[in-house]
Amino acid sequence: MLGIVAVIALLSVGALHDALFGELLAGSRQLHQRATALAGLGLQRGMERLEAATSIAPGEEEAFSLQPLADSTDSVVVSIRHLGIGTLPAAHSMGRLVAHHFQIESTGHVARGIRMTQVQGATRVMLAK
Amino acid sequence: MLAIHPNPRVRALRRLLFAALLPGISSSAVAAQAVADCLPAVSVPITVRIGDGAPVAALLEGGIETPLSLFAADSRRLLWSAGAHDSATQVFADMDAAFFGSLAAVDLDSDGLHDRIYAGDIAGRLWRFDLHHGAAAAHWTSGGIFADFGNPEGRGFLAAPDVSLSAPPGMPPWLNIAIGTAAPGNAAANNRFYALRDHAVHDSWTDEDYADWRAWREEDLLRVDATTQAAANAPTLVDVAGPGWYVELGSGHVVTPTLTVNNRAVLAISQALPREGPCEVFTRIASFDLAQQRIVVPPDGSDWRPPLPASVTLGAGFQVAAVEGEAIAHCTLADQRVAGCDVDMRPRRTWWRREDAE
Repeated sequence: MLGIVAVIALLSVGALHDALFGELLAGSRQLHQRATALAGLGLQRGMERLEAATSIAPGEEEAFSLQPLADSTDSVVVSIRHLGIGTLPAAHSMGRLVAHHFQIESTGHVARGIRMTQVQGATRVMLAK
Repeated sequence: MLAIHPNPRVRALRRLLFAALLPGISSSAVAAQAVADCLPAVSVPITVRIGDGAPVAALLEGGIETPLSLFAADSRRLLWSAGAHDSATQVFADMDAAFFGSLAAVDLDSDGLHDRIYAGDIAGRLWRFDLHHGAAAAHWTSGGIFADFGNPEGRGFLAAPDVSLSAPPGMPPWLNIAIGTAAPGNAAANNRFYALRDHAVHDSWTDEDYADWRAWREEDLLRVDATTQAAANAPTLVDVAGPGWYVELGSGHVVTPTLTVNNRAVLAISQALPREGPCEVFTRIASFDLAQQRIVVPPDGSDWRPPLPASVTLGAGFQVAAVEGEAIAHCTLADQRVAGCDVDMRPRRTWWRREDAE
């Protein structure tokens, strides 16, 4: 009789552990998804900022951070880096127009120190000086 | 500033000299010089390294006696020249026609030094030169006739070649060279728009390579009909391995460099070139789809070469200017809007990657 109780107790503890572990896993996955979404939002804001920028010189870097929800500690850190100028922009007149190449790096930070980074390359055709 | 010489005697002398240099087509040549008097003086800025020295800013110019000359930008010291005569720094036996403004220098690797020159002469030949950085002036270039489109009517190149890169995914890149012809003094000339494909984008040719090269001729190119129906029926899959294509422009002359925006080459076609008097011409605007190898017809099916409302000064080029608060830069010709060459300056997404998550 005592043995049966011990086996049942053991099975119950195992099931409880599985449930707790599953909940932890689901929570972690949810946090990773939030971090991914935040990183994507950062890339979008980075593209908008790049479009609005009148000039970012080669080698320069512009960084900013976002806190999309005021009552949350979730945050996004975005940096826009000018990688260089191509004098032979594809599909455009060489000499009159140039291609500015950028890299936008966006990291979404969420609870438990979980973070996700996405890097987006972007090109902007501009007038040659 | 226009290149009209203030002294009429000098202008007359230039015309006579030009006619004497090219007796076979003297009438056209005189007319060409009259047109040249109206065209802006062309000095193409170019950064070069000749000999052991540091890179210098220079100006590439065309001419009659010496077809090509390179001057130091600051001192106007002659750095290099090319011609058929022995006094040129580099002698090219076939370089027996003048160059006006049909010059383009290309920096192929974005290192600040120009690597190649395309130049069209008034005899309708397009020259290609590879520049050898650090070589002595006498060996600074390898070059030769890349394409020969000369004809008895005296078609030639006055406008600069327009060079743009095509790099479709999964295919080797090539350079599109868009250039139109003019035939001053010959109203009956059937001018052309050529779209050539130079597949040797990053290959620097040697003298031997140029000696072996057989210059492309019009029969090597695909003739594209300049009709609305032909544009509508144009195949969607284009064979890009060939040397290129051309469109007949009729009596219109091309004296303004083409501007290519997003694979659309926009061209100004001058209707009648002045022999004397003010350098004003009426102009039509034509657009060509370099990717699809066809003319661009407006969505409403109207004239594919719409005229500009007001006359323009001969040789006036397309101007593109950013507009405050707008991501689209406006394109104009002599202050008249040409929407077809507006430049979309909004950023485009290219590649993307995800870093390892923590």
